[in-house]
Amino acid sequence: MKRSRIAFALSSVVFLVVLAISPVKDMLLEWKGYQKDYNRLIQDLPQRVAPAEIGIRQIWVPKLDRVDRCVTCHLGMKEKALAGAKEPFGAHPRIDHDVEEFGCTICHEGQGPATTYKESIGKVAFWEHPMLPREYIEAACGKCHKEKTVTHAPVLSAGRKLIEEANCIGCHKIAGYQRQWVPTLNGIGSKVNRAWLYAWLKDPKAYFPKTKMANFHFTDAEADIMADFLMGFTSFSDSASLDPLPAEAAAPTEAAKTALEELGSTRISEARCISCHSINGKGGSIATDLGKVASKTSQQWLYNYIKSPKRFQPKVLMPRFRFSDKDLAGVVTYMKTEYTDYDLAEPPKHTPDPQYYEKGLALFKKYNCRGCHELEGVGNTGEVGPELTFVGSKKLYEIDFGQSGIEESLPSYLFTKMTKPRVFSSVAKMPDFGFSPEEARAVAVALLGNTNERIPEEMQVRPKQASTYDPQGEFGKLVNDLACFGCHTMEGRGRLVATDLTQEASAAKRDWIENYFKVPYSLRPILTERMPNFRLSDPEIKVLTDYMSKVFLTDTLAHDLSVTEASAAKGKLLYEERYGCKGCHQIEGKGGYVGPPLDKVASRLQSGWIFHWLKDPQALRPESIEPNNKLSDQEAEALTAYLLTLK
Amino acid sequence: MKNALDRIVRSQVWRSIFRHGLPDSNRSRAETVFYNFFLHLHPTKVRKRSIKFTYTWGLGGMSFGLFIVLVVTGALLMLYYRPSVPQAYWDMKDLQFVVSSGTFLRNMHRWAAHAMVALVFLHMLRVFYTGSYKPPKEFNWVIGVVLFVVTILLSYTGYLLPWDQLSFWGISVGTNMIHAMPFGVGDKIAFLLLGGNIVGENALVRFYVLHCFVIPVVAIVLMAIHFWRVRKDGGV
Amino acid sequence: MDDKEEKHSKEENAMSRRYFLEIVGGGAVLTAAVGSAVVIGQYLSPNVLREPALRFKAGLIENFSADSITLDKEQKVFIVRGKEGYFYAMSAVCTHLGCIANWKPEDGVVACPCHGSKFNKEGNVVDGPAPRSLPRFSVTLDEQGQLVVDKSVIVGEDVILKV
Repeated sequence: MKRSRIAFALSSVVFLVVLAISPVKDMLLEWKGYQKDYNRLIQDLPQRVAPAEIGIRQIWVPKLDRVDRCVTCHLGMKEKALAGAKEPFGAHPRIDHDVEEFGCTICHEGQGPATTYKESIGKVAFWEHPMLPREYIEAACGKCHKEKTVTHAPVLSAGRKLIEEANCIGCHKIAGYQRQWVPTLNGIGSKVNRAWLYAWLKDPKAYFPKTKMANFHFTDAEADIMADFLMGFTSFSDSASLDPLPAEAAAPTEAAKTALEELGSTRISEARCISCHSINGKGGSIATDLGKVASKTSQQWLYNYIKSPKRFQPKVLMPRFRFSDKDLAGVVTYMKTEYTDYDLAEPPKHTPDPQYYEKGLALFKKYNCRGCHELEGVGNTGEVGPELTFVGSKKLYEIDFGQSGIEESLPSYLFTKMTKPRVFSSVAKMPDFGFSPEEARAVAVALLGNTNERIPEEMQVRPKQASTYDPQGEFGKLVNDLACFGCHTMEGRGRLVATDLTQEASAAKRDWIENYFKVPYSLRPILTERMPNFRLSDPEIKVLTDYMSKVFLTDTLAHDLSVTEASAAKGKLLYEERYGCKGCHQIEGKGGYVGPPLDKVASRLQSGWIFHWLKDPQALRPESIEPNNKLSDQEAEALTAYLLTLK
Repeated sequence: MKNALDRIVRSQVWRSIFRHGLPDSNRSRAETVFYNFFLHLHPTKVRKRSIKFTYTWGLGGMSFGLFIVLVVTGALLMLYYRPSVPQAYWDMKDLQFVVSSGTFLRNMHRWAAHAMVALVFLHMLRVFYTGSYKPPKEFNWVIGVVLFVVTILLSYTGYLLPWDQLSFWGISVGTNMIHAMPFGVGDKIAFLLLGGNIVGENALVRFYVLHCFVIPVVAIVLMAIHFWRVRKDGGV
Repeated sequence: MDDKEEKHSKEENAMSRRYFLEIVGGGAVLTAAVGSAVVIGQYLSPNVLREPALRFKAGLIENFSADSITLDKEQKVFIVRGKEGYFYAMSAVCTHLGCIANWKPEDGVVACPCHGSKFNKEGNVVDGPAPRSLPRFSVTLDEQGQLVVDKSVIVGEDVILKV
């Protein structure tokens, strides 16, 4: 009896203690501690902040099928007074999306339903979406925003631009990117010399630092084989053949040679080659560097190419200058003298490998040169890399980290891959693009945004449809021939280096446009790029301006107004005293030169354009830095009247 | 043939299951009932009047029979029903249109439920009019009334499960009545019953658990006591 | 003899060992029982709810014309805009037994289909079994010009949002 009573008492107490473990643990939950800390913290603040009720808080986002309990501990998210406070109580930085509507994990990833710190970070077993490190946060924007340029997401936008320009699509299937133009290899053997090709294959950036071509780290033997292989392709596309140098290029005397060089130099300045081509690093970056081009190719090839670029590089965005043979003779002579690498070493003696063709072809296929470069006579597909359309959803167990020793996460994998592509495997073939750490991070961010996460239709932001504008007829032929799209956009197509021309006839007067084709004087001196002088004939100019004046019009931009002395005087007052236009514009030599001088603006621009421009510059040219002074209609009309007196 | 049957009936397996043969004397008849799990609730002897059908009309027994029908049809319906929103409604539709005998089982369940409420009520009337609640049987009457309420509650919780408009508004009205209880008691009880502030997913699951498990267990326990009491007090 | 004396003295002692052990054991069991009841009660009461938020954006003020009543079906709230342009938010849940009452413009009343309760535009009962007028919720304006209704804050009839 006694023993059983002791057993009863003892076991009851033990039972009670064991039973109490769970309720006591419930009272001491981690998040309760944080909430109590928060309530203590806000008491010390000078501002009045409402204390938090103790309890689990969550944001339930049914349309994204997520529930985020981060707000249980992150209590200061909306309190301005807690900006910069110790985490987890700091206020959230200003963002474009409402936290209540989106939740937290859609941007930050991590384990939303968790209520402990470690689990919420998500770097735990069986949770496949750990939190994105801070520097990769813009990747989440990329999940819904599929435009090329995403406002307030500069890293993402930069990464997407890099992916497009590097032509990753050459080896990796990836939705939403356009193939970039890359020079064809047809006829490469008739274009370049072998020594140059060998050096190029070994290190492209040594010749042209801004080249998009990556470094394949060929061994000397491989580079030899590739060079021999490629030099065998001597036929150009469409059976084009090189014309011999013109007679004018023969320079028997030193004086004749100097004359030719001077002519060439003049033509090169007028043609403003430097707007697109850098020359020893100085100038535009759209096309290749010309500083050493005469060591790369022959004068004959240069003559043929400049005479008719698309014959030897179909679809290239280089304009066809209307040079005479004499002009061209001058140009190539000048180039031979000035654009040669005099320090280039003599290449060592070389005997080709007897199987250079088979081995070269194997290398060509192995590294998928065909992915970027067209080459007739070689099969269509080489070996490609994995598809990247959903690479942001790649699971950890699908990644082989090899011996790299990096942190085992997807962001760090992608970052490392961009800087050291072959570090993960001894048989990796991806070339080295020479990305800086910032560039590599931007690309990694852009790739991380390529997920297969199901985003509701109404939350997706689709990229703008590609323009289908394709000018036809005589105008179309000229646009193609002159590669206008290389610097101008029209109807949504082209590259914006200069201005958009879609409304040009509403902007500029026809006379001025015609004259400008003849003499493309510099309108904005501080810019590097200038419109080249194509030496167009009058009929050609007429075709262009006829089309422009009929098509590149926007009727709503017309705005006739009568210029009276009174209104012009009022406008002059506004110009000089009220809005400080002199800061950026010159009249009669007085003023700044940020914007174009306004001396003859009435002969250049239409009255309607001036009026609407003053009202809202960015509505007409989004990239303009002209301030929007929110002028009233009367002020704008007065200023327009004044400017219209400046003929 | 007769030899084979003989062999089976004389085997150890058979004799361990069926200990007695068919009864041939009153004693063996009594033993058959007394030593059988299913039959032992019945007394070995009954009063003559209780055999008269019009005395009880078999209402209590029929109620129990309907309860069995409801448990069996209910268990079968559970195989095709998921208590979440909005699956509940579509599963109900599937039972109606797609599942073999689905309509039959569902209708049987519904009819048995209505019939059970009616019969339980009639049984209560019968017990009252035959004075079968008099001492010492008062407590059994109380258990009976509680069982009546349990039957109604089973109907009420089951009504939500199809998750259609009738379900939703019916339960909304009922829980609003609970909200009307004063001093905050009503609000608290309604919150626990619905698992929240609204008639939603949580309410559906809670009503499902109540309807399929909690209330039936309570009903079974009370019925067992109820029948036991009847037997111990000497039968109907 | 000795046994009997021992037993006797043990029974006289107020806190005998037997009694102590019974208290400890029984007390532990009782505490465990009460504690279990409390813990079960905590278990049954949900800690998180997936319900539409009580505080929500009802729309831009431009979307509501003057002298209009708009029903937000999901939130069960009327957004009322008076002739002069002011706003107030009124519950659409009938105060009788919880059905959604609808605005009937032809009769000029908010009518509940369940048991025939009718309310006027201000929410007061004009007919039927409803015991109370329709409660009003706080309505404010946020930075983007959106109406923000907070169903957890009941306001009086005189409170309106002037825009």
